[in-house]
Amino acid sequence: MEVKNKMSKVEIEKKSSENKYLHLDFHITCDMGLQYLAKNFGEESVVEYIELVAQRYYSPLTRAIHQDGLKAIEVYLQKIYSIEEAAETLFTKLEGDTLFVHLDWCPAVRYVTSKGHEMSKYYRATTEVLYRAIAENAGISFSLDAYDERSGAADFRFIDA
Amino acid sequence: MISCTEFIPAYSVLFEYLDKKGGHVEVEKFWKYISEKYVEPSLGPLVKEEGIVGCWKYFGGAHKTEAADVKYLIDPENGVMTIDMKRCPSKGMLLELQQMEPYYDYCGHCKVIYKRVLEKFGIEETRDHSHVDEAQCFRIFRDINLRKEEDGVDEELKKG
Repeated sequence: MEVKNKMSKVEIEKKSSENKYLHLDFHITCDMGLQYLAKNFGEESVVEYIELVAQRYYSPLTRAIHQDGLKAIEVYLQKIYSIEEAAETLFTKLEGDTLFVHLDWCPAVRYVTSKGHEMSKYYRATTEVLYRAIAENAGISFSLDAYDERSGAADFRFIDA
Repeated sequence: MISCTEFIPAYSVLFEYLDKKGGHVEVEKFWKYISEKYVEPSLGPLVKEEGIVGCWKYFGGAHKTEAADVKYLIDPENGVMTIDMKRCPSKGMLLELQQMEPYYDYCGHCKVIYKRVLEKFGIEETRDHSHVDEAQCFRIFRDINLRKEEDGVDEELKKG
């Protein structure tokens, strides 16, 4: 509803069920947080912080990996890329003791760039450090084989051996 | 990638991390940084150009993509708006998490990041945070440039 300065009082009520929870601007705030940490506390603080996030928030994923193995990671990645409306960028292959993951581009990097911001070099940590920490917490290995900072394109593996 | 749907817990952990580094004052420094570098470039021009209506456009847009349960009362002629956040999607999400507790003053960031910008453009913000532990809060915005001596609209707009 359009509200004009000369209109009388207007009441508007919105329910959460009316809208999809997808506030893409949070990608900008996330990167700003990483930049702030690096600038004020050094690059090692970015690693410490992301490892803390892995420990605090991603513990259910860690438990799922213990229970269901690499399939749990595949299901998780498919879910979040679908929520981000970027399912088409994600390719996964579960082969033996290895989950191969390829991203054509990162939806977070793409969105931030589209808004005229430049994603910092620290954003890489949300792949490299985060997934390594989740893997280690679950007793498996992680390898980042390729990462393009401009697009967020990446190749990485989780190995349960 | 940390999905934008996973950001709020990561944000809460960031406040926790900063607090460990240097106490609450360190967290507030970050909030002021976000206010200046992120909030002001988008909220500032809207409020400067359109006053209370600009406020509504900013918060209405953010609350939409954050899927909030929220009620707005907007009185553009008198320069007053209230936001009755019936369920904050961010605090609500944090309260529902089993695996972690929210930063103890998570809601404090909202007290800081907007007020500093609004004040620059003559918008006074008053907040009631007495129910933040239920993911609820109430805010009144007043354009001081339009304030009248007999500000009777307050009684009608105040939360019951």
